[in-house]
Amino acid sequence: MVDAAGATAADLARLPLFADVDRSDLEDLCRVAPPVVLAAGTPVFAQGARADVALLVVAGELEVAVGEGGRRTVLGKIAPGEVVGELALVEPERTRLATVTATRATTCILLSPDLLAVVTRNAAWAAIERHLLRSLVRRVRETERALHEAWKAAQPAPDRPAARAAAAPSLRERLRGFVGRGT
Amino acid sequence: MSRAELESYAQALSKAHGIADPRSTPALATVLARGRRERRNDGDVLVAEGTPADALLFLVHGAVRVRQRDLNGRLCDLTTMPAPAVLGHTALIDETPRTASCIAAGRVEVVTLDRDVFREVLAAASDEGAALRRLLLKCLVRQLDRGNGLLRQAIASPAAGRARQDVTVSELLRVAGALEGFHVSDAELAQMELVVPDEDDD
Repeated sequence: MVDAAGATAADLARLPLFADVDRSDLEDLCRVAPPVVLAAGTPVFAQGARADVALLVVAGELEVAVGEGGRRTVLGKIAPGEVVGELALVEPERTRLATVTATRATTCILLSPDLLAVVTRNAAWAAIERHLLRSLVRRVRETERALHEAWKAAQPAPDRPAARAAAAPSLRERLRGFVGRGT
Repeated sequence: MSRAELESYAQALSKAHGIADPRSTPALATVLARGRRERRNDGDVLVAEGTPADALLFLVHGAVRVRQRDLNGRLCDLTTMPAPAVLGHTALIDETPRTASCIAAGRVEVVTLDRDVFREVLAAASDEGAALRRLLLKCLVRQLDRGNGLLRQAIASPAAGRARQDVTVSELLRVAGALEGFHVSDAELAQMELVVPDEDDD
């Protein structure tokens, strides 16, 4: 991980997240949290490690995977403008449940809980926090939706023909579908 | 409420949500000072399911019952929430209708922050804006933990495939909300911090 000499407030300004943020606030953010470049293949977060920082991807791409018993499953990619590991900012004592790796040279800003004290009046940070709020609300809604599905699957269906009920996917299968098993 | 009362409540709110930053108390008190103090009686509806999210409520004294219609249209009691608590933030943030009702369980006192004030404070690069955002982040992480905990339980149970009759509607619906469009991207799945056990874990 090296300082990103080329990454400036201009790079941040290109992210929709910061569309309404003045350049001076982006420059201030870069001063307190200088962008870093992760070389391709760099492990960023390790599954099981203590969660101490989150990352805002400015350019490049990160890959998220989980592993168990020698098997590794890629869950997805993190694109510019997205934050990964944000629960570390809210509840710093957690452990990582997934491994994150840079798939190519990737510029990021490290968001640490220590920064919270110095960026209170920075509009760029306020934009990041609002982004996190929207992201968390979306996840809460998705969890709620999955719970609704679980509830629906658990209900007896007297009006449903027995053969059709028997052919219906189990609750477990439905939940697996919701959380994207097999990706 | 006097400034001292507001600070006392703000302190209780911060403590209840695990916020240790001493600056949050005066900042939250300043946010609360922009709201309306209201006293409501037992049975009064503070938030009505299906209505537009027009305010953020801080429960100062008393408790509220959280109720929601299930998929068959029956009203279910999900939980009872005591003060200090924040109500109605989720729908305000994603600008959707309320997904549950909050009903006074006895006499209650709330501070109501109108939507326009909420938006202004939430967007502000100030101590007050930061205090409100960080309080709501804590609230949401707890909601997420509770929901994911229930989901894990449903997935991991050996009885899951045979319909969880042992899981009550209230339990499953405790944090359940709207049935609006749903999609989990791979990236979001990673962020859900949800690990699905293997089939042979049964």
